[in-house]
Amino acid sequence: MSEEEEDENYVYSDEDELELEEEEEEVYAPPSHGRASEEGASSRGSTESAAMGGKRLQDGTYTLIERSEVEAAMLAKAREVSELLEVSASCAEVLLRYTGWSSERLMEQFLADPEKVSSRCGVDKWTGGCEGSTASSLDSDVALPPAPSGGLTCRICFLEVPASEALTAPCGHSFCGECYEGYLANKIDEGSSCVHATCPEDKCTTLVPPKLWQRALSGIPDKLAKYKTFRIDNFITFSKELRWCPAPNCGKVVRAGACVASVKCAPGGCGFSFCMKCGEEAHQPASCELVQQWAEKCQNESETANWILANTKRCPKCQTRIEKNQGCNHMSCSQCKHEFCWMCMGDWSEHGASTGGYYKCNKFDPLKATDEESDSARAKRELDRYLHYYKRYHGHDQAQKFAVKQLEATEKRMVELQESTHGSWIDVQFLKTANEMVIDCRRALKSTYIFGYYLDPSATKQRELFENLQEHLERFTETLSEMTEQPLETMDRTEVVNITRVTESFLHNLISGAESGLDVVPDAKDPTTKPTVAAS
Amino acid sequence: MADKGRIKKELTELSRDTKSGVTVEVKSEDMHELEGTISGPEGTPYEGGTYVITISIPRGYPFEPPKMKFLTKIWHPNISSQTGAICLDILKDQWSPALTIKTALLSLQALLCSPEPEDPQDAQVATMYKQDPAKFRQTAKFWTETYAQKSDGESAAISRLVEMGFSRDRAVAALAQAGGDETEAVNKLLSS
Repeated sequence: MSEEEEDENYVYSDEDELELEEEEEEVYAPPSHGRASEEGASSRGSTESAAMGGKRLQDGTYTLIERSEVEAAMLAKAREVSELLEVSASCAEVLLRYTGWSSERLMEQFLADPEKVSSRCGVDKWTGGCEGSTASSLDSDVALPPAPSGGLTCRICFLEVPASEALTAPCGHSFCGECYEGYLANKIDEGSSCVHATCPEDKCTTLVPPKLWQRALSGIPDKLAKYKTFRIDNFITFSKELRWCPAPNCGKVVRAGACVASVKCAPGGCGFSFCMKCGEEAHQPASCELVQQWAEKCQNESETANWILANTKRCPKCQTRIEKNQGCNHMSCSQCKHEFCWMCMGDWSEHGASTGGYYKCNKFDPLKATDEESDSARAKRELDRYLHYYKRYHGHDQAQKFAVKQLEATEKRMVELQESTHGSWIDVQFLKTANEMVIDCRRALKSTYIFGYYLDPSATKQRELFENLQEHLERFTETLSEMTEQPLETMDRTEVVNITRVTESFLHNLISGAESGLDVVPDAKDPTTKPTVAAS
Repeated sequence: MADKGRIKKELTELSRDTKSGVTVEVKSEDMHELEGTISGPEGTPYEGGTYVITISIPRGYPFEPPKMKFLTKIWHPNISSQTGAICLDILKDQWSPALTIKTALLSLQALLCSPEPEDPQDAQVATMYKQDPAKFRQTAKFWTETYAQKSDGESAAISRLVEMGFSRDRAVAALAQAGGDETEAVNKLLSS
């Protein structure tokens, strides 16, 4: 058995060819996931983290990082740019903020017109080179000019102050320390925009350097700490390679190399899968744009849809109202024992491959359209089409939620199974893997209905291929979902493991197929006819 | 955090100044509610008018800008003809603690000289400003005469409309809407 190795480490990247026969040790993550880098899995010390901060992640890989590591990464990036542009590191930080933390764009713009960029960023009057900045801090590398020796009248409080109590920004404008403190504390209260605070003088565009922040707010350290937090938040929010985990109360940060479409907040995180580009829940094969369109559409149509879609359905045979409380679509009516599919309400016996039936739940047959059909009929047909997709989208969404809930029960079942079989913890991991696979598939299937809804209706070939892929995945997801809900006594480990793998390969086929524009037939091998993963 | 010392200093300075055409009066004991006046700049349709502006000093002053609003009705692209709300950058994100109530009022005076129709507060006024400058000037002037001048004598047009049997308020409103054009005002009154 190869599951022993799988643990929680995803090892998969898009360039990997999916070959079921080979690499038994390899466990494929949902294809949307990048490769969780080695660093991400192992625990790191603080020295290592500072080092990894600057290290580039390989394309297609990602890792979860801690806040302290984010700071190190920011520092490393600023230092890298500071050496190239021969400016101080805090200056580099400001310049990088200007281009949304893209060093490439900054290089391009800065080298084209350094003066313009510097003055636009408010650092044209800053002095101090890259040699001044230390590895641990960006806060003291900008020189501050002395206050006028004879003291001054502060232009904020209108009081006379001696030079020793005045603070001067690189532009030469001096104000008393107390007013500076009030000014910057007020900026902090305004929120994240405080990182763009300029000299208090009217129309002066010189940015307040970190060193001045530190001097002015030395009396209120918690405000100063907030300033630092805002700087780091800016780095996380705007750099393409970082993203907050969007799950509520998670707060972890994911760092990803190029070409990573979606990531999972794991290991060590909450396990939520999300899109690195738009921050929504992972949605392959549908694109970010389609997901947004769909969300808007659902919002507009939701009342109609909700009105039509009740929470319950009637058993097609005995008409008893049934509430679905488990993830699988294979329903057995508790009253009449009739078995049917929750999606299409058809007889379940037509759904299995054994009966020669065909699982048609994912297909929508548009009614024969006639040219003379009235507008209202067309509108009705459009609504029907939408509802067809929405129902299935919603169905998988609900099933996904059940599966997530089921995870907790699965943990308990794993303990139970371990005790009854006297096996090791690793021996029972397959239950969790199967459960997680169901979640991943449900999520992907959800998105396939968005993808399908917006798929060009005239592209018959593509649609056929897509629906074929979708159907396969749906069938296996249902099987797997049902299997994971079985009582432990009747559960066949080998079978669960096999189906998990086969399902995974279908998930991969579907996503890579959709990504390649559905032009090429994916892997000709059909794992259904040939369960190639040998069970030991 | 509002610094009373600073407000006091500002007020003393303002009381000494008689040339700039700007005055400020304290309306509340804590000195947080003030009332300022500016005179309409020469060579503009606002010439001869005196504009009252309510000033509210926020707690964060001078790190936060004072809140200002025209109490006197005015026809200007950057000032709401309904509420008197002002669209001016230094009263928002471009505020600097080195600015004062006086400099803010002077900026308002400058705004009366040079409207910014590309950044309008009142779309209707801004449209007129751009499309029909002559009518804009006429209307602004009429509003100045009607609302911003000491009402020692009513304009002849209002008296005539009142003589025709319309109530004074309606006559003023109709004339204001018609930009001072008496015939148009009569038509408006008759058709309403």
